[in-house]
Amino acid sequence: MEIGLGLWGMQTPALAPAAWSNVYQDVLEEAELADELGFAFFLTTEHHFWYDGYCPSVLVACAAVAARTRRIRLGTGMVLLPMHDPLQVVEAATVVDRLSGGRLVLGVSLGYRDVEFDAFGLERRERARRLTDGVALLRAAWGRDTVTFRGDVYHVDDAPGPLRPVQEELPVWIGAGSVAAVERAGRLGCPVLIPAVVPLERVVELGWRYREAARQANVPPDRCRLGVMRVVWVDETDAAARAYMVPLMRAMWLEQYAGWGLFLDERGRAIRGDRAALLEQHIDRAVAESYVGGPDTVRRGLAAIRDAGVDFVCCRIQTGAVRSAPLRRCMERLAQDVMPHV
Amino acid sequence: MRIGLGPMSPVAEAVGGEGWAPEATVDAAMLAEASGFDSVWFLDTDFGGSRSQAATALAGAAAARTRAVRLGVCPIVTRGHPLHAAEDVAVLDVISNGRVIACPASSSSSAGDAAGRFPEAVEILLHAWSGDAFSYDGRFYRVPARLPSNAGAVQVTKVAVTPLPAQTAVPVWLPGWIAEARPLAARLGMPLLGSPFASLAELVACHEPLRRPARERRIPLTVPVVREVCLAPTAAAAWALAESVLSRPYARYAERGLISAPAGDFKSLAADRFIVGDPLQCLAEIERYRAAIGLNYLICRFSVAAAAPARIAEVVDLFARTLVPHLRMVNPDVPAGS
Repeated sequence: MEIGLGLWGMQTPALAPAAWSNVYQDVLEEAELADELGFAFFLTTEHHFWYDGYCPSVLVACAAVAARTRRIRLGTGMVLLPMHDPLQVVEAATVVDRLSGGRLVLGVSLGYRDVEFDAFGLERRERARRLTDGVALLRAAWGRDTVTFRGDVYHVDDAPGPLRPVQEELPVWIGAGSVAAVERAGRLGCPVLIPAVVPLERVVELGWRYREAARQANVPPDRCRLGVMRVVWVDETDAAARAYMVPLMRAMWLEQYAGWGLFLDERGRAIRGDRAALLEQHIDRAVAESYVGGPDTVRRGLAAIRDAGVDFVCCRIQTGAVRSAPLRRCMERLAQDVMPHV
Repeated sequence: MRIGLGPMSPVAEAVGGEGWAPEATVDAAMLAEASGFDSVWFLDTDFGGSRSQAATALAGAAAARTRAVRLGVCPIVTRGHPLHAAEDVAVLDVISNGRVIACPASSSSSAGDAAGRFPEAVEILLHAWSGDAFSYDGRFYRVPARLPSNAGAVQVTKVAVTPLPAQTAVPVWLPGWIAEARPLAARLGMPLLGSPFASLAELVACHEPLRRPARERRIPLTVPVVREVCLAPTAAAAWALAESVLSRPYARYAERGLISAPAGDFKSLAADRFIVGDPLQCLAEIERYRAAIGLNYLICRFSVAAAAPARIAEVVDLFARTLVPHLRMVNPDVPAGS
């Protein structure tokens, strides 16, 4: 099982105010450390118009990371593809692929915040069609001198292609947490990354649906890779790890994801602050799905993921409010005390 | 006078290969910084069968490998939503710790609409970088769109782009080669970036409307121009090099109507357009621009280096050693923030 790191959104939330420039400088140094320590990948994350500066331009950030690293795969977790012109994404992605010597992984997902779609003049309800068609267009354009594409949403006639990339095929991961989304990823033959809030038994079920959808679409099995995100934090002891990380994690779930409508009830309606008790239950469950503790605790957690048939895990050690010094210590412990045993 | 290098753009190999390899642009930025240049420039392109919209990504890589040199970017703002361009430039300014000069450009793909879209897109950029939440109702753009199907739990009537640029006011220049940019520059008091394709007479026509009011109001004005610079120890070597590197791409530009010059005659093409010669001849040529339009920011488009990346150190080094010390002594009154 591959172990990578995420999710760098270059934020300065209320819990950790800082100058944005300092945050970006820290991220470049953290990427260099992740590179030295041998992690498989380093993921940045995109959102728009959030007060703390959540990075809206992940390929610009990835280009900077590419210039400062040598070996680690660098990727997006995720580009909110329905909000972008796929041809523009391909042009920027090709440049990052070239600058990194072929280390780019392009993660894409739907996006879900109304404000983001509305600011760009797009209808949120079109997002699934735009994602499916967008992935097809990304693949049709990658490495081509000219692009012609007739899709459900996008129509391109004999347009100039992007630069020639290093990687023959663009690796596209899809972020997906529902049955419909993993089945879509399976049909597209893309590796899938399941969010941190999804319990492990549900991950197993989604993994089965993902591979089955791929099989029915005649996608070769070796194109299917199941990935999962988990909030991870390693310290000397369980108590020390929990004392540091649990409050930061709860703050992230409450302020950010609850506010954005990530937690859904059984009818698919967003659970926000007006249903505080139910929201608290969901946050408790999200915290329970994290691996926060001493090296033994985290080793056991990651081993359980591996034994469930997961191919790669993105350890979310950056929740947005984690300072650079403890983050670097956690990365070192993860690399030295956990990764070799998993 | 201030000195820049560029603008660099990685044009797809399929359409001629005269562009910069992405890897070479980062090396060029580091070299420019080490050689005392004020800025390096990155350009989105969308004309004549080549398209690359990755100037801010390239500049992001350069930002990560440099500390002082300014990063000029010419992103096309009319092809996608201008809010994306605003976000890209803001993130670049933060990564570079406040070193961006932005020169928003237009796209031939949006021809027809471009004349209307471009001024609106520029206004949206300025709102986005102001730090205030804003709404915008134009003919082409409505921000937020307030589409009924998007009405969620919270009805949003304004948006605020974050992160904000590191600079309290990102220097904004406008492209002199776009007709609709000229009245906008006059209205907003912004410098116009002179095109490498324009002759000296065309540059005079472009810059004069800005110079007169600036003179009358005694406001310092940045007068930036991009020129092909082909410098060699001897005039004969410089002209031979210029002709071998520039004649073919510029003939193509002329065929596409980007240049108003007689076809086939390199000397006529170069006159009033390229800076070619030994160091003294180049200085004299630059002085002509200073006298005619008040040039105080020369951006050197070293196509010679793009065509032969191994030679860039030699080209930049010769320029830095022989010309920069002289150029620093003339027109030193470039406004702050450039």
